[in-house]
Amino acid sequence: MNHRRISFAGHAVSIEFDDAEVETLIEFLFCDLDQDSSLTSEAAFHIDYVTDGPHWKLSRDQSELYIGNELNELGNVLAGEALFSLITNNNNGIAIHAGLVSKDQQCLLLPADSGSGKTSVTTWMLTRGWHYHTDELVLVDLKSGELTPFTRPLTIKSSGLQPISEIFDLERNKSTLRSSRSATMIPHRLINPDFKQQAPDLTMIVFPHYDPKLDPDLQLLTGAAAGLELMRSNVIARNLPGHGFSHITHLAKNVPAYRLDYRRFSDLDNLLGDIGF
Amino acid sequence: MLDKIPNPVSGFELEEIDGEILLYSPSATRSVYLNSTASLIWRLCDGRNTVGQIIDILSQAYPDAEEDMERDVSQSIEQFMENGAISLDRPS
Repeated sequence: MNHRRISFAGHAVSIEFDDAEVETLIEFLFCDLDQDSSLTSEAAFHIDYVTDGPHWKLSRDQSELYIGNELNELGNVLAGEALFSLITNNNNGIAIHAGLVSKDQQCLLLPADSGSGKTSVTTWMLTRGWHYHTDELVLVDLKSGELTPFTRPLTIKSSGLQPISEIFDLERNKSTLRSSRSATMIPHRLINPDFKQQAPDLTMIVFPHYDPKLDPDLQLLTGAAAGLELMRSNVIARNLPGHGFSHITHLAKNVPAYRLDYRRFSDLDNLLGDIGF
Repeated sequence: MLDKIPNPVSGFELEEIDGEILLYSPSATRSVYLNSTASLIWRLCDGRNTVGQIIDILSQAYPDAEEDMERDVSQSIEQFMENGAISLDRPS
């Protein structure tokens, strides 16, 4: 049996497997994360291949998480469950459900609910030369304010694939992607090969909001309105003193924030151009 | 409503940013955003002023907005109540 340790922001999980195909999948998913073996594992994942019935089985500490024939779907489930296990006991920082990209000394946080276009805007930024850090979660250290992104492949939900095909050639890169019924995962280096692990200090926050019925708009938010939006994206609030409220409002006071309503990628060219992107 | 006293409910954290207020209740995991007008009204909900007195104070301070003041104050107080941030009590 093979073991792989994955660590993020002082927490770790382990994955047991015995198949070379799974090893390739794990590398695909977690190649940008640390493997700190000194940390106690928060959860043990186990991946089995069986010849009869559905071939792939993913479990965590005896609970079955996936049984089926799609290894890529198993990978999608594993990425989400591993992240959940890595942050669920974290009390060192504010975990914000957000994308993060940077360019030179600019660093842009893109907090949003699922389905709001977080990954789409992140991908669009990469096509404009921005460096990728994450499309899913950023931990903001409570003491230093340092950003720790959960770097994984860009994960495009099936409903978001058609728009992405306008800015990235999915067909030409098909052999390098991992697609399943719920999502397609794109190695971020395919879009911008220049990867920088360390994110600079945060300089701007944009809350993307995809809605085909809305008029495109970019609106500067007041500090209190930005704080409200950030509290909504604060995913492990229960672990923090005061649920991280004072830290969130500190961010909201000190970093300019915008709400971005968009219908298509061409809106981003117009709107984000107005603030220097 | 005019003769009742809005009392802030304990347990909310408050942060004022550039004249606006963000409230947060850790027990209810609820955030409440108050724009600058609602923030003015919130500051007058001190457990002493009745709703009518709040309308009078703001009408004197902002005579140009007097016409809409009763509606604005009532709507804001309803917003505070819906979010569990104040209770509306009779004077003792």
